[in-house]
Amino acid sequence: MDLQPLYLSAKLAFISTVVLMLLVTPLAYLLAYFRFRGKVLLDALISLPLVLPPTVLGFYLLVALGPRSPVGSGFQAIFGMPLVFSFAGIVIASMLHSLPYAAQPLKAAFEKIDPRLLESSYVLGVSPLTTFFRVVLPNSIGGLAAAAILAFAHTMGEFGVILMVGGSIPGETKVASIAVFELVESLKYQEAWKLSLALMVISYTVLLGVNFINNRERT
Amino acid sequence: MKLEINIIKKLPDFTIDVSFCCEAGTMQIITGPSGSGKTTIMRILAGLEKSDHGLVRYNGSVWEDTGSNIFVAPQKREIGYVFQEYSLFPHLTVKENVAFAAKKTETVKHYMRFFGIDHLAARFPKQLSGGERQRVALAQALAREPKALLLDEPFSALDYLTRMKLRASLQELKKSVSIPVIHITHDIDEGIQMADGFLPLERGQVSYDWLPDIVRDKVPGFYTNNCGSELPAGLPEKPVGRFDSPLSRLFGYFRICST
Repeated sequence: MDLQPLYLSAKLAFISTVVLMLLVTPLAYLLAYFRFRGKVLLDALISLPLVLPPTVLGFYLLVALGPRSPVGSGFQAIFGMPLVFSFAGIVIASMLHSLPYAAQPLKAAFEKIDPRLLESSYVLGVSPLTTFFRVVLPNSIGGLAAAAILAFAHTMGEFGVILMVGGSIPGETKVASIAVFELVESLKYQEAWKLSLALMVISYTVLLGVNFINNRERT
Repeated sequence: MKLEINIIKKLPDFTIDVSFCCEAGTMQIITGPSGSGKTTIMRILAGLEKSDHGLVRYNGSVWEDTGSNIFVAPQKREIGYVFQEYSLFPHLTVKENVAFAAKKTETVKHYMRFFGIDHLAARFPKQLSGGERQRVALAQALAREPKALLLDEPFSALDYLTRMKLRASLQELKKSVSIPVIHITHDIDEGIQMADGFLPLERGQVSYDWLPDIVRDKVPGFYTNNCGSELPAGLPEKPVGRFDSPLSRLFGYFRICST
């Protein structure tokens, strides 16, 4: 069995989850604690990848990251390579597609924290930023872990968006789900079986992990 | 050292309009029926809410002055605040809670000993009884060596014996720490016994009318309103509420407000 697509999937899932968690944490905090104009619109926008066909999201991303777009041309000018049909391109695409899977559990975890704890920290002389690290984050560990695991699992199984933005370049953008598709197309069922089974075991283990965290949070 | 407050705050059903001061080493009791504005006054003192019009001053330094648009964020007021309900950090042990904002390790040890919670050091808040939690909350508030202590009905959920013990501890503390202590209580007898100043409140105003006759006879003269501070001029057109904008919370919790 060719393990390269599986390795590429894991690498993609790991990198996009780490970057996504760094970006989504302040976003989820903003949605959980602040009232502002357009909050409902932003909330719905973040959830959009849940209902949007991956091909549609992929198409928009292809246009937005393409060499004629400001992002794509800027990337090419700096790194000397196009953003679409590259590993960097599929990292961005995966992050956007997994955004609701990370944002929603994290937002829910932040919302569960009693605001009096934050006030308690402020009156004890601790700044809002330090309070975030000393009070909010330690009390949202379950939500953080669930968000990261779901984002990781979702990226591991991603297909449509990656195919649209990255194509199928071996070693660069040909992840496990695309490899399975191509193996089935070329009637290599035995290989497809093995790779599919590997993906299924990973996904199942990840879901078990989420359930374990949720159960521990409840008790 | 004294804490002065002279504020007006419009609430949905009535307007809070109070003025009082509290000297170091004394205890100002605020009492009144539920919903009479006691906690709001405390929150304004702590900087967790703003007044619509008023002045809050500690030993000459201004914490809030609506006329000059001065507002000092709660984290910069150096107060100790014990909330009505338990607000200990659930992810920290008793010792870590007490040390959360403490400046010195000795102070942590001192107050843990003073409140008799040394033996609970390694426990988490959910493993404590109500009385133990409030003792930890008091130790936490005092361990940071505050300039003033604000107590918002800290004993309301406790049994009689525990309340007696904590009341005695507070009386002892009041003399030793020598800071202004403002204490909200529903228990009028408790208030009269502990008070150096007594502020009976009804619908945001000082009022003795609601007090039972037997109690009223005991309290005249307790209420002091001799701060000498004057309300600053220039009433803001719109009342300023909590969490007005994301920016206000982002930059120091009300530092920037849209009045």
